[in-house]
Amino acid sequence: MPDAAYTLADLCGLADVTPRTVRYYIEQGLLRSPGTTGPGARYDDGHLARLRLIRRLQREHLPLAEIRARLATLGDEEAIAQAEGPAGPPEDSALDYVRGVLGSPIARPAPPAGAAGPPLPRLIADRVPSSVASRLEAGIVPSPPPGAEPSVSDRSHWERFVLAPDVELNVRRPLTRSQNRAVARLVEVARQLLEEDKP
Amino acid sequence: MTFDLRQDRDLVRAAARSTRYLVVRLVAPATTRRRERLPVNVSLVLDRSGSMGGPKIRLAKEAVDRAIAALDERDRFSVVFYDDRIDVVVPSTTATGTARSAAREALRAVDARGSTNLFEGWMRGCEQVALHVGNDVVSRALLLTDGLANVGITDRFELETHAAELRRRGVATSTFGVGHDFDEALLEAMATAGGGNFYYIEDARQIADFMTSELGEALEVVARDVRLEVALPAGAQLEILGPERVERGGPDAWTVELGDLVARQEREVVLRVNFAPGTPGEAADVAIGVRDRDRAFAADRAAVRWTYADHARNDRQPRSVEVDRLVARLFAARARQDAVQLNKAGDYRRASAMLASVARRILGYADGDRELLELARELDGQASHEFAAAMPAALQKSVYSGASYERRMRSADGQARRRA
Repeated sequence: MPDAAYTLADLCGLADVTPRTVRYYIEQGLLRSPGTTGPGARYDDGHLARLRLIRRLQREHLPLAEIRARLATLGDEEAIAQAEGPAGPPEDSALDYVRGVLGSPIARPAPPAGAAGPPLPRLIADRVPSSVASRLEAGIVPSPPPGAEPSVSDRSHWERFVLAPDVELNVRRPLTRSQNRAVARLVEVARQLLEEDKP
Repeated sequence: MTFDLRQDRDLVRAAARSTRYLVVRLVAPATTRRRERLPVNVSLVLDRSGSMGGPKIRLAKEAVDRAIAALDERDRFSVVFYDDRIDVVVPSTTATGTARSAAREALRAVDARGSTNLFEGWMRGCEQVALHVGNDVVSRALLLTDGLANVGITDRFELETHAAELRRRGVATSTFGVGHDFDEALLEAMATAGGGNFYYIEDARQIADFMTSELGEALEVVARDVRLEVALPAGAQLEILGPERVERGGPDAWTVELGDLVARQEREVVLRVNFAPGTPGEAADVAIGVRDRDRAFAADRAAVRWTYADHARNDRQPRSVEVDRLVARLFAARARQDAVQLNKAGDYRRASAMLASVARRILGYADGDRELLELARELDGQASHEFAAAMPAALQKSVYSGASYERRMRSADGQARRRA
């Protein structure tokens, strides 16, 4: 929630911009007007976050029109989260990530004969920044010894969910994403039902 | 001001590149800006492979019981036990009294068996946290093991990458190694990449203390994702002596990730700046800003100045012994960790040589300082005794984890250092 009131000078100091820039952004519709004008005008954390976000997006060479369009879709809280969060937020959520890693069986290529080490397993190769991947290929980062890891197909296993003291659900992993979602819902609904039926 | 800066010297060489050190000392505020603690969303992920049999598994279950007792309705928790099968014993739930008693009940049925699928156990725990990850929550998976991952993904680099990716998506990982058979380098790397903490638990009877302490810290987080923004003069390069992650955001702009800080936590970060040559009399400024997701540090900024001078003046300038001591301790800690790994691999000669060489370097600038001389003597002693032959596993673990705590600026028992 926006909870601090800044004067124009405070705001400019914190966001490292000039008063002229602030007025320009207000004119251009990138920032909300503070309501009043003159020395009594007060700005909040939403303003500050938006100013920082504008700078970050400018560094990514986005045109002002595009920045305006992006800011228009954000509430203050979202703007604050984006401005204060790490640069380049990931596109998928933690849940998507975990389920992507666990849920999709991806075959690993066998190491080519005569290669110095096995190639980076695909499961991770897709997610490793290219700089790291190239260090791996160059042998700077130690690769796992050949044959150290079982293939993904060997990794199917049973997972047990305890729904209530005497009720369990057994699931054989890996599942597809949609099956995973269905199982998560099933567990939630089942637990609610069992909770209701408690004597 | 919530942080201060100390430099090792004031001058840099005009006619050559020079390396100088800068210590950034942060003190986290006592409360969050809203004065209320942040809710936590945790998963306790525990090993119940065959080696955990007997009293260990009982102690681990008691630890869960004690840890969740610290939570209340604001928080969420889940409990996962893993061997080659993964049991989500308690799916993520709000920490009401009823939920906590139900968890106690569910724990009774857990016993030790099977092999160690640390990867899937950990991922399932992260999944439970990820179901409820949010902007205003401290989300963390606490992973405990007493052995080597031997089923599923076991490669350190891969586990580390997943930990870093989950961290970017708001789920941190802290790790606990119990006994003498776990892989300390793996667990530390996962915690570093995962933005959490690593702990060595020598005796299973301490599991509850460590787990409760880590959860206690999670409950006292006042600043999440704290980072330093460092602006260097043109041509300068930055290195960090600790385990913190550094990213280069522009030609002269760098970011150092410090993770979460708890109430009143004191945290030093040692920056090693390599300056390009310049004109005598000219200034070289390093500016530091501190940011965090909870705005506890209110984007404070400060700068320090070095001045270009000739070799003679550089060689005569005084040094800050306080900075030198911290720098020496960090080099020593890093050398000890590397030497443990070499000793484990049977390369006693290189392990000893590594410690002896750091000792020599420290003696080069000790200038009669008792603390520095003592540190060099200690390293020399370790080089010629403990590290010169196969070390017992318990000693390896305690030296390694002690050095890990030192590098993270934590107390000797692994806890956050707090200002009184």
